Amino acid sequence: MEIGRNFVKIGVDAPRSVKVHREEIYERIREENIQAGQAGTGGLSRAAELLKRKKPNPVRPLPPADDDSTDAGGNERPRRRVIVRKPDGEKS
Amino acid sequence: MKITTRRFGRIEVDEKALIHFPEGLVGFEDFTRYTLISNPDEEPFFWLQGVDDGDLAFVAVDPLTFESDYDFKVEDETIELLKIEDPADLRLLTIVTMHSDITRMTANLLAPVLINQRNNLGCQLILRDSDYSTKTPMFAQEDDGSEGENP
Repeated sequence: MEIGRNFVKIGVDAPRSVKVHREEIYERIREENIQAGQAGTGGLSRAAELLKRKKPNPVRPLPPADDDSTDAGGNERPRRRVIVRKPDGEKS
Repeated sequence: MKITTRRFGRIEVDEKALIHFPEGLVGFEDFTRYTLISNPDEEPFFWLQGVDDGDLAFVAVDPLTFESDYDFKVEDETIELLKIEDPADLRLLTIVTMHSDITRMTANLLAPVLINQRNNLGCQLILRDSDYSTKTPMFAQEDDGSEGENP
């Protein structure tokens, strides 16, 4: 039987390479999650101190400011900028 | 309900504080129930504590606390999965990977976690066509040159 000979030719095309790329990204994220899941409780309070002391990265120009867009020191607060597109295609 | 955790011992979890991840987290698809734990001296960090498996827990933080221009589009499939009606209901988190040198801890900005606080549905996204990294340093390495520290 010669089933094998044709079989090996199947699946070598562009969509497959896109899929392989996605699988590679999935795998990278999976490995990162596994590593992240090994965190112990030590050190996190120190990290919290560091994070509070750290100034957020320079803020890009933002849309018109709300009243509370600056803190007491006049610094711009980081703002949530997740863009959600509704199923009908309109941005909200 | 009471659960036994590796890090926090036996804890009480209010049913209302359960967050359901229908698809689990990437690589942890079988574990779908989590709760957020915060400790005052660790804020703004949280623990995304697994409920189905008490050993499972992730450090998470709002990425806007260190990456103020972080943004991405939420795809329609996510809107449907989390039944999002109002973007204001969303809580955005990113999972953090700890490091023995705390200044080298990293955040996974390629796969953020979204939680719809209205119905406590959550998911971990895989951003498409994104340049964000799974290992984004959270603190600038100002005194670099210590590369050989961790062989």
